[in-house]
Amino acid sequence: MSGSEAKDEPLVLDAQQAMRDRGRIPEVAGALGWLVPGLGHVYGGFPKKGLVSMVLVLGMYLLGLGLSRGDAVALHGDLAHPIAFVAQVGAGLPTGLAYLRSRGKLPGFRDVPAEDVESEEYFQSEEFISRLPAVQTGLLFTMIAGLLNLLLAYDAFRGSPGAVARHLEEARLELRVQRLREELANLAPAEAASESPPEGAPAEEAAPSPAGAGEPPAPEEAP
Amino acid sequence: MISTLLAFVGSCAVASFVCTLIKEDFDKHLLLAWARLFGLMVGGIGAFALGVQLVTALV
Repeated sequence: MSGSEAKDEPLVLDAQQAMRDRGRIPEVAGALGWLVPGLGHVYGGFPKKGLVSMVLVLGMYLLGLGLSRGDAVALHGDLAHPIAFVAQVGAGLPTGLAYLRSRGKLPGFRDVPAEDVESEEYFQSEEFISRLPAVQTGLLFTMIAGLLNLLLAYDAFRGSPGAVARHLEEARLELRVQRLREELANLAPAEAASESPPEGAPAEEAAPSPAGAGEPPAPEEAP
Repeated sequence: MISTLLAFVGSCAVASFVCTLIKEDFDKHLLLAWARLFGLMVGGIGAFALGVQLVTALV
């Protein structure tokens, strides 16, 4: 196959199949990626990608949760953010834990007792009102982290096709460069053989000088 | 105000990096592609917000 044919051949890519060939189950990768951000990529064989996205997405989620002191994830009482919760569900396990914490089901993780949160006095207290901007920022961070994790989980489920395509393209480029080098190496001795004249053949005519190229030869001067 | 801006820039930075990471993986194009998407996000959303502010002020 020549270099041009290699260039024109279509990019056939099935990252999910490649993942199965490595002994990994895409559905498990997707589920793990949804449960813990980045874990699906680690399971699927992309540990660097998984760890970096875990640090970023989980960090963002925990930062939001910390800023709002846990109030960003709630489904009950006046603190409920049901629409935001739809986005936060994308973060899987952290949202589940945060939700349990908001219901007071995780002992030791709650700074405000559940009965206080339900009371009207708590929402009118200066302490709560001063915290509202932080709660809004916390909501934003946890929602964005949840939505980003949905993207990551889907990418893990599909076998990270972007990464596989990039590696495939680089491998194809390397192969092409190697083929071109081989062609060049084969071409060089053939050219050398065709350029060297056979013994006994008449010498080639001298090339016309650039100055006189395309002009008729000048007449000889009279003596 | 500063904390809002920081939250906006931080959210854009993380979102654009994760989206670029999905597409590009770890290669030499990653930082450039991330910077491009980050600029596009900050510029686009910032311009939209400025437009909204301007229209609100005028109307």
